[in-house]
Amino acid sequence: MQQFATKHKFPVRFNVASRSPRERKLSEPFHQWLSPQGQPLLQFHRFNRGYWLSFPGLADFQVSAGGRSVRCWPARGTTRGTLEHLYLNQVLPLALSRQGQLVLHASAIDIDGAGVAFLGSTGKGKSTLAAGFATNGHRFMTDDGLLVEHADGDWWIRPSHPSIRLWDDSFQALIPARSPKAPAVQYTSKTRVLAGRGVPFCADLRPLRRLYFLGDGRAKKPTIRPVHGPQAVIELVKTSFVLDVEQKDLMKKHFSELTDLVSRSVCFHLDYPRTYEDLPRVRQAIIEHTRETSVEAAVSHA
Amino acid sequence: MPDKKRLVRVHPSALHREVQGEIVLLHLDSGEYFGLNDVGSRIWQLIVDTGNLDEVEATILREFDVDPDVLSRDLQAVVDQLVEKNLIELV
Repeated sequence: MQQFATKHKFPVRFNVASRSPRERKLSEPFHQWLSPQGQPLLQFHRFNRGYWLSFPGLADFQVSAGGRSVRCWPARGTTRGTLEHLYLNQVLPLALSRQGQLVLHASAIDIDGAGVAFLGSTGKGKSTLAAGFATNGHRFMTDDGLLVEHADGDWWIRPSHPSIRLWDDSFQALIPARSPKAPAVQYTSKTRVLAGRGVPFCADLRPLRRLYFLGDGRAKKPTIRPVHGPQAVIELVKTSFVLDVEQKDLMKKHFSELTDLVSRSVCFHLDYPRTYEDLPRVRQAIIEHTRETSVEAAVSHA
Repeated sequence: MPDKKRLVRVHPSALHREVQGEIVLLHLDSGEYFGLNDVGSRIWQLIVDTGNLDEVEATILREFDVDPDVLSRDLQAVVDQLVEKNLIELV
């Protein structure tokens, strides 16, 4: 057995088996994620009252029924960096969702003590925005797998793993020289930048004040508009990590949480030109928009 | 006595909640989410409150400036969709 030495404690026990798994009979996958070419990237099986997550050619992960422990069997030749990448970015968020935690495909940053999140599928610019803010005075809280929780009558962002994954062009454009990096990963050319002096990380809870659904980049200037009601709920559903869509108690909880979150009027659509030259004015637009909320919140609590 | 076919009820697997004035629905068996616009949301509320499509129709007619024939046709179309998605069922 071996274990990744991460600085952050997640409520999931994780270990990597040193031996190959015995031959296992798996049921047909009840769900799968496919590549744009239709190849399976991740297959979800039910197994021993828990789950078996198979990344073909890379690794298998066994998740316990309640999502509290994960065991990994790497395929021959899969590197430790790749395993860590798969675990932190795919398996851990799914295991946390099985515990009933609300986990979204989103990055997040801290603006003047307010938690601000950017939601969207891969390629929408979540990590680039987070890195751009982090290198300009606003610490990041996660680059994906956003943990959101309800406490004391408010919604909070919980910091996640202190690293950001970037394609090479974003890495070259945004990240200071000599910033620490995680080992390379086999199936993606993205670089994982570790938090540090050049890319500061916020390790504290922050009240959630903004959720921005990222557009497709067709806007000619930064554009922000509110997203209301059912449309906002359905957008949140699309960006949720959910391990088991057949667990009705969790579905009810998820429904209740998403509708409550939307009722707080924190959901907006954000689009902007995807050029590095535009990033400063995109950041400025978001900062000003978030500060409007902070003033509103201060007045309503007075 | 109302016509039996005009009585409906929310499907036991359908969850609903009003969010910012509009209704969001989740069907627990399929895992599908649905959103209703403002008129659809009002129809839903009346279905929940009365379970009687005659009463729904009469109330909408009082509240909205709409031709009775158009309303009758549109209401039936909404009800057909809700039944098809197993969000309500005929009693």
